[in-house]
Amino acid sequence: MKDQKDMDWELFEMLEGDLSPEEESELLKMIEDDADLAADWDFMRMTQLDAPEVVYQGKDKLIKTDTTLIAFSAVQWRRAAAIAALLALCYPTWQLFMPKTDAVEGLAGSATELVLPNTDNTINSQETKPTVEVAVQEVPNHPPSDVKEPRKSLELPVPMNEKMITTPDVANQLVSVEPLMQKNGLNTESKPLESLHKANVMYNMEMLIPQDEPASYNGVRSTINAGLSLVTAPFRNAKIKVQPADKQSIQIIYSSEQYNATAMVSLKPLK
Amino acid sequence: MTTKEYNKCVELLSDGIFRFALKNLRDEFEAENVVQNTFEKLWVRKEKVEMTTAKAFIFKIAYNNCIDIIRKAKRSTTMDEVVENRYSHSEQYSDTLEIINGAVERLPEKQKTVILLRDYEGYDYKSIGEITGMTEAQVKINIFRARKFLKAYLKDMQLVI
Repeated sequence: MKDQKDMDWELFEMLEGDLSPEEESELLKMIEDDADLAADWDFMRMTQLDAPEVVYQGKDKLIKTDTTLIAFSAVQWRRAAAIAALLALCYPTWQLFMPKTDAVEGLAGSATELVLPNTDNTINSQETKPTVEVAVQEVPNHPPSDVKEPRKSLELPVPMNEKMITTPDVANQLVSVEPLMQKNGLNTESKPLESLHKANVMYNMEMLIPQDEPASYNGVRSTINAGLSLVTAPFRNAKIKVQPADKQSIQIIYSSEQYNATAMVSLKPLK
Repeated sequence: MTTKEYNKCVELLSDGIFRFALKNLRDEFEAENVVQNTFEKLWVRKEKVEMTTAKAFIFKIAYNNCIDIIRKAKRSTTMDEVVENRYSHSEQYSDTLEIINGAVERLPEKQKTVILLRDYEGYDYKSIGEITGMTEAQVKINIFRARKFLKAYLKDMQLVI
């Protein structure tokens, strides 16, 4: 005679389908003959759970889409490679003319005025402002007795205007950019240096060199050219050569019929 | 497993995972988290999971996630509350289904898990063992104990009603 524990196990095995057909039929016969066992079987069958209908609402958030790869054609790849190679080649050239210190870079981007050192009244009282020093040496091409009066267009007693980009007093003849800009058909609106866009400055510099003259301009950073273009502006008909003197300064050589001038632009770190 | 197969798993199995987690945790918010975590893990490992074993893999992740949540919850639950929940018969049941659901809630974790996987998802002992880390014999004995408990509970409740 099997005890309750054994019977429960038998009923469980039948429910799970683990009994052989013979064992199952034997057990079913016992259930028919025993009311208590039949009740137990009913309860055992009730333990078989029916899965409730449950719907997970966030399926859409779980659905993934394939990552789309940007298909580059062979031509596009070649173009991209060519651009990359060009940039790589340009970089050393760029570096050649770049000032090496960070301070110089900062200065170049924020210079607000040009100060001519060797002149008493040109020393700016605002010493803390970033400055670009420009030393101009005028050297006649001919002996002094042969020196002609500068051409009218080069004598530029232009009234100082605070809004204009200027160099102070001594370089009065170097000061005015505006009249020349007008003559050259450039933008006549004077702007503070810091407000000029780099690209514009470069454009102005190029325009200052007459197209019919072969410019020996070698090219430096556009922001530095902003200062240089002011200095070179009066020498509209001159040949201009800009070359790095050392890591901190640039030499500008003007050559015209009346003048042969050299300007040194040295860049001082910001205070 | 491809993305398409993964999405098929979401379609076919997310309801089951949600139901399994909801039954185990009795917390809809936590159950939703389990579903999200499970499929997130499947997505991360989809390259290593075959479609044929995906269901067991998913349920295993969900099961482990549920166990973690239950253990964390237990740490913040006093023993008295557990004992009271385990043996309290104070609820009012209106039909057999509610009685059974009430009884299932009172099953120990392992027994509840194996019986849910067995009856809800139709897994065999071997698959349940793979999910839960038990042997087939352990699975079977846990299912037996669960059914025995439910049977006794139903019998008692029948007498009360």
